[in-house]
Amino acid sequence: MAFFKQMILLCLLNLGVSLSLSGQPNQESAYSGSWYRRISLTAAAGSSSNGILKKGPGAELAIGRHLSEKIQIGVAGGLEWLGNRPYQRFAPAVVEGAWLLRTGQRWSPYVLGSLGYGFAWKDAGGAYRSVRGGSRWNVQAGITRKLGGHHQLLADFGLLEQHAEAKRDNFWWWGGQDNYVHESFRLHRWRLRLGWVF
Amino acid sequence: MAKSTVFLFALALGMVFLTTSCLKDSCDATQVYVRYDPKYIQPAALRAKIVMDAPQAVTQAGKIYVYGQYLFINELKEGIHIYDNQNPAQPLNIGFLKIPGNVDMAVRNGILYADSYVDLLAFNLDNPAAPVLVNRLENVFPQLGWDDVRGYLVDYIPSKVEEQIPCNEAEDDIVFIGGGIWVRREIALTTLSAGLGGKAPSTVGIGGSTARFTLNEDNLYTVSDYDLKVFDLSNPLAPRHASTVSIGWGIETIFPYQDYLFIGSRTGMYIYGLKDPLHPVQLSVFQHANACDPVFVHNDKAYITLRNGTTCENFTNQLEVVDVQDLFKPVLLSVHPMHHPIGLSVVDDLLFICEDDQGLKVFDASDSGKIGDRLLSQVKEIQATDVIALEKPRVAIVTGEKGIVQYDFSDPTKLRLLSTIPNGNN
Repeated sequence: MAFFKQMILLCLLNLGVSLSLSGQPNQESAYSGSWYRRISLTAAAGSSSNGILKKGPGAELAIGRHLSEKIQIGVAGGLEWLGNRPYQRFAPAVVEGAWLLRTGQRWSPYVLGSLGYGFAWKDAGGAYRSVRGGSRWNVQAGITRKLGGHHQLLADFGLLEQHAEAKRDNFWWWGGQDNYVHESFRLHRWRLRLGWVF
Repeated sequence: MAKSTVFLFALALGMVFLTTSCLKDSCDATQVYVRYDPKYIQPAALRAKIVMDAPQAVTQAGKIYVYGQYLFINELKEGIHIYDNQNPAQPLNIGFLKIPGNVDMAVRNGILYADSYVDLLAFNLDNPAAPVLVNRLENVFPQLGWDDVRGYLVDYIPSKVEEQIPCNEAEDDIVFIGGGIWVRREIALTTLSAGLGGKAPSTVGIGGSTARFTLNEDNLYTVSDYDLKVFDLSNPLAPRHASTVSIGWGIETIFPYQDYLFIGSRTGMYIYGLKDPLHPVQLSVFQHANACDPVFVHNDKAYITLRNGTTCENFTNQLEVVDVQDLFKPVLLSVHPMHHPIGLSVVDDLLFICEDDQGLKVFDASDSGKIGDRLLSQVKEIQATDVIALEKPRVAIVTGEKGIVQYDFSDPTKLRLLSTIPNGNN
């Protein structure tokens, strides 16, 4: 629970930084040098190694800068559930880069990639002794729709790979320290994201 | 343009979600467990001639026992190192008595009693440099099993196994994966030890608080995991198995005090009366939280350390002081939080507690209600498991991972290191 609170605080802090930066002048015609902020909701789906459907929601805050009219880079963080197991929920922290096509149009496709680390956590008790997150990468392709000013809506879709590890009791009633199963996962998910850029 | 793009996007999205099952996680799993392989010994090998070997370094120190100027150190299931400890600053290793399956010992009137798997042995210690086996009581201790070809099943040897297994992702927190033979370690052990405090003559030695083997008057009392055995020593050279008293599972330690036995179990402390020394009778039980619990009794007070741990199935770490003036109604006097207390010893008003990785602590126990607040000194640089505190000379003998370490506690606020008999791996 404490971890959740910390993550929420982190997100709020991120949002605060984003809002404080929103006061900088944006150039209408040339994006280069301007900042962007993005709030997104995500939905991920895939199958566990034994073929069971795994799905979960997520929320993400991102802040970045347009390097040119078509290129932008930034950092993002949030919370994301890729399933219902302790090693399937993460607080990701990533760097991202996007290539924007047709930037002058109302509808503009883009591709985006991110790379970083997803932190995992476990609740007290249960059969899991520890869980650990791992590296993650993600590629998405999507489209933005311009609203007024610098506001945009976006939707994109892509692939996510997240690494994780878990250590759990072998027989739960046998508490021996030398009796456990260590698992290394590479989680793969389709990932849909809907966001608001401002 | 816009509508077609959105349509195509939605179509692609739908296709992808329909093919979600094609996108699988990958998983590698390693199962780690302790496998116990049975160890057998042929009767002829178990009962081969026992001789004193040349002095050897201690490799895995077990329990300790003090008899006069001699210090006995058990080499777990291998035998007994005998040290001349007249000068605790320079203990002299005088030999190694190789006894298969030995865990515990006690000495009375110059006779060393030691277990050897299922047998009880008696050695004459007239010359401690060359003990002589004078008697063997066969098959008096519980045996784990018998095989007509391989002989006695005497032990289970643990070995850590790591093996790749198919990844079977859990959907609940309860997971069943087989492999290995699962035997609780303590069931496999039939250990014995010794204690102090009985109305025994001065020729009785002193054992630690984690003892499973003790002496009182003309009798030797041993506890296994579930019963108490009584041996009649009225003929010291020919011990006789007199009786067996069933107590219940989880028995850990035995401690004599006056004409009573205090038996520590994982659920409580049993008090047995020795009105008939060959047939102890249970007087009362002081129940406590499920925990491992060595006991030491001094001046009508029982000091019990409770600790957590794998086999103790508990999350309590504390010292309990119990008034045992009325042995039929023991009364809890006070409880003091501890770190991870194991063995303990009391001399006068000084309470010595082995606090595992926090070392040895010495408390002023003159007021049982304030023990926790009256830490006199602490030796932090050792891991401490059990302790024997001697009244004269004022020496505390501590066992632990480092080996056997002796301290002078003439000034209990400042323990002085006298000597270290290191474990082989240190």
